[in-house]
Amino acid sequence: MMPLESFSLYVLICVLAPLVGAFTLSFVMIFERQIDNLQKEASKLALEKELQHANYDQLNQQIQPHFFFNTLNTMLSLARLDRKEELIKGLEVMAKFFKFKYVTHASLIKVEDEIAYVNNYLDIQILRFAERLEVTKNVEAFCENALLPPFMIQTIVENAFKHGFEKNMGPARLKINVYNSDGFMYIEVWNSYFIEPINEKKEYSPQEEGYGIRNIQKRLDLLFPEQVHYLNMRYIGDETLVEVKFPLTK
Amino acid sequence: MARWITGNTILSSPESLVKYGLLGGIGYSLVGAFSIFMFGTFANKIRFRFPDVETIGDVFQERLRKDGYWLMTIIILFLGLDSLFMQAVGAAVLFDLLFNIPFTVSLFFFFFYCFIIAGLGGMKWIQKFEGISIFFIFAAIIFIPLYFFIQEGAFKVYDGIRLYHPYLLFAKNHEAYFFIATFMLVACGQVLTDRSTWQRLYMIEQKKVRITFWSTAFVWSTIPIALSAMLLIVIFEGSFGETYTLLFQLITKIDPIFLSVLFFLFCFGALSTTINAEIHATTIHFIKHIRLPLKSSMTDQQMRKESYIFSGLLLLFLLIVTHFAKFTLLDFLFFYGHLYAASIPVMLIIIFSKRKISRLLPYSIIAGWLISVTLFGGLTSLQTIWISFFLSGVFSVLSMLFARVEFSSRYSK
Repeated sequence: MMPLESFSLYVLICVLAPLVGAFTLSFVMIFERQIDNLQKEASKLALEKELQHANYDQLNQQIQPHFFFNTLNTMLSLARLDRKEELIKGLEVMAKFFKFKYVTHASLIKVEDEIAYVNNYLDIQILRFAERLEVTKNVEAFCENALLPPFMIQTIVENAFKHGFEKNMGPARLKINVYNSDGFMYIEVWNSYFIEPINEKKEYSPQEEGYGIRNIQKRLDLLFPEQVHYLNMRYIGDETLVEVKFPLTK
Repeated sequence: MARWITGNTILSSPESLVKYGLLGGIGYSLVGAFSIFMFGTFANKIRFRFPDVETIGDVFQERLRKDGYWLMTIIILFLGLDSLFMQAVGAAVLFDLLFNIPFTVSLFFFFFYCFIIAGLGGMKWIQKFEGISIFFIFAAIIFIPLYFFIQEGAFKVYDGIRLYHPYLLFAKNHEAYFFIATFMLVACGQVLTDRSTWQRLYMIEQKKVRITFWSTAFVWSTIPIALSAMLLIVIFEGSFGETYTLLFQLITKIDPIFLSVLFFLFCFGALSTTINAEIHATTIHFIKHIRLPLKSSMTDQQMRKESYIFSGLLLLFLLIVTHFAKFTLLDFLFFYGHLYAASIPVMLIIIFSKRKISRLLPYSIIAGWLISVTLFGGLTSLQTIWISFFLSGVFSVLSMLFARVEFSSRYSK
């Protein structure tokens, strides 16, 4: 039989246990928000830093002098040929294009804004590539108001031009699909060239790509740390597909 | 957490204490904590595996087919009634002891309150009231034992227990260990099949899921221990009749009106939050996974209307059933224990198996339960619960082997 001492100890545990429980509960409730805020703050800082990198990258690397001078040359040719209408259009879209780059500081923007930005870029490219370029865009109406990290589609499209169309002859077919399924947003950018030498089985990890793609991956990691998201590049038939999946946010 | 400080705890812990001694009381709290801890460990894996679901029924919809889906959905609905029924009995006992009016009237008002909060108010209202309940629960379990043991001292209680209930003080009670092990199995089944726990799994931010369940397990474990101390206060001065009224009799033992009110609020809070959570989860389960597949043209408004009707009817049913309740609570727990134990292998396969699930898998629960209670009638309930678990496990594995044949033959055609 249990002696009195053990019984007293049992009673003591019984009396103290709820005190410990209540203390733990209060501790969790009081400090939960502060810990959360700290984590959010750290994530926000990292995100801002990444965005700065993105802006920097956009301004200094991805709008390479190469692209800039090509566009200027295109404009010059249009002026020499006295194609005034096209020249005006070219200058207008170029102005819009640069304005967007300078004013975007949010970590997430609407898909429709990103698409408008991509359109400006493509308008410039159409002046350069003319009939060679064929663009198809399928953006689901539901996705237009959804949010995505800025310059995401733009970076992938630029990549297609830089590594695909500019290095190869013949028709340049670009296809952009944006759709949602099961609470996730899917972005696909197809181009009709191999960005790397042909290897059917090879799955490219983002780390092997340029800074722009790595930058997208990093921002996705920061924005959706615990949720399913990916960015990968693969070859289907003779086309290159870059696909991105992340949670649909509105 | 309020969902787990259920009327079950209030009602079953006296039974386990009285039947299996102080060891049973401690075991009860460890068992509950372990099962919630275990679910917390799986929680992240479940969220990654099924990122787009909201309820346990959604998982069935994703993994099961045809009659398998229907059987599992109905079993889960039936298991939900167990907990609701226990809360209703608890509330009936409490109101019967407290008020000098027929408990039908007091219970009616209580259910009406639950209907407004859970049936009409929904999850937002439930969560608002859960916070208040937790406050009263902790206030009561801290102040009442503290006040009493400071006033009376442990010696007087020890003497009383030794005189009237010496069996409680025996620690070498092998049956108690077996009871704890068995109850652990049952509790794991209960958590795995609990609709409101699954709902909460998807309401909590993903990165906090594990830590939330783990801290709930820890904090929860302190409650049954405190309850066992409160029970000792009730029984040390004499013998007792029915065990499930025991804890509520505490209200007659407490002198200061402040503590009596606190104790009433504690019981009221614990019972009502559980009923609210259960009613809400059961209603959603019924409307979303039973009504909607049968009538897919339902609009949101129709679904809302049907959910009001269903929750109202469910509470009315409970009100009627409590009048005919004549049972031992532990027997009731054992009856459902067989089902909970049998559902563990099936649930684990549904959650973790990467293979396609056989239509026959959910039948393992029924088979395990029926065979264990019919063919093994000579054994004790504790033993047959284990048999139910093992039989269901064997049938589950067999049905999964059959699934290979089922699918390969379909593809070969």
